[in-house]
Amino acid sequence: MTTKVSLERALAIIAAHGGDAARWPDAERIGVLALAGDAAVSKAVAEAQALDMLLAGWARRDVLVADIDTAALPMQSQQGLRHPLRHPLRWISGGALAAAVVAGLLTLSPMPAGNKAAAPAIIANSSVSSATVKGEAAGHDAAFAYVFTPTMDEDEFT
Amino acid sequence: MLRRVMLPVMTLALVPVPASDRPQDNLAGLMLRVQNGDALAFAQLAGALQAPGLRLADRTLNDRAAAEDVVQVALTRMWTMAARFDPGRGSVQGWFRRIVVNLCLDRRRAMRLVTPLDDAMHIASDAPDPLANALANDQRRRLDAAMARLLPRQRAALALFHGDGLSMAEIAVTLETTPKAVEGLLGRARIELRNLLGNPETET
Repeated sequence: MTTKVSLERALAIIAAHGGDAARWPDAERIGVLALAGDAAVSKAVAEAQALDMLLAGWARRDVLVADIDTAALPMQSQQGLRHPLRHPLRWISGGALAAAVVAGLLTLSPMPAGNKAAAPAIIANSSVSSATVKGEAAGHDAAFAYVFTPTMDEDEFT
Repeated sequence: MLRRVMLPVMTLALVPVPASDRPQDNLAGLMLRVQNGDALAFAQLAGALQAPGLRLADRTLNDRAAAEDVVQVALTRMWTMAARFDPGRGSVQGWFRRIVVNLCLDRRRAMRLVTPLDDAMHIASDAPDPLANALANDQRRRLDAAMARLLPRQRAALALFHGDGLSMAEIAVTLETTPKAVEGLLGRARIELRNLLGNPETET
């Protein structure tokens, strides 16, 4: 049984799947082909085929294989799942940076002479969370490295 | 003598190719060894997956250096997360492709423009001379510039559909969405591309 296809649906299929009927949905292919006589459909197919050629060339364009030392990857992965870094700050999380800033402010901010000795305690009790700092301390760095994604700002450090 | 030479050839032609000789089965076999901690098998598997992974990442990100980073991280994950691979749920290639695409889409910097469309119009051709080469290079630069205007997710869908020849359902698995959504994604991407390519005055 062939599904009857509206003109609008046929144009949507061609727009998404391209001009090659073989790549149209099986259930709707014959329905679209039945509309081949329509001027809008035939124009859409011709335009889609031209774009298909461009896209096939783009998608299949050769790439030079990267010089990745695959044999070394298992050993690297045992050293914390990190790949070679362009800059050591690249993988520092926003939380770690925030913690560093807060720690710096607390250390540098003027305070009464009698409270200076308490400064380390204040920093240590800070509620600022840092996934990286905690993760390394708790041995979770490997798991953290999986999910962490540098933000655009952090990427700027590279 | 002739019979002795031809016999093996005929035998080879008649004997069906064992399942283990098919590329996807070889990769599955390598993956099984990787799951058991075989570093040599990993190197072979990585060698087979590196080029297609790099092509997909490069098309999705439009950034060669970032694509290399992604492939390296993806290969590392393949080693460290090997135990999670379940051959009953799909092929090794499909699993690796999914890791690569997820890593690509996770990089927001990939959304930056590489070559503004207008700039691409003014880049001098480095082709020797022939007009055909110049036109082809110009078209390629314009296509690359237009691609840079698309979202990484759109480029990933286009690369998977036109490069790897995947179906809507297969792309949906890779992008973790529905086939219907992939159809919409591809449709919008192609329309946007056509408009960009047909409008040389497009502002960046």
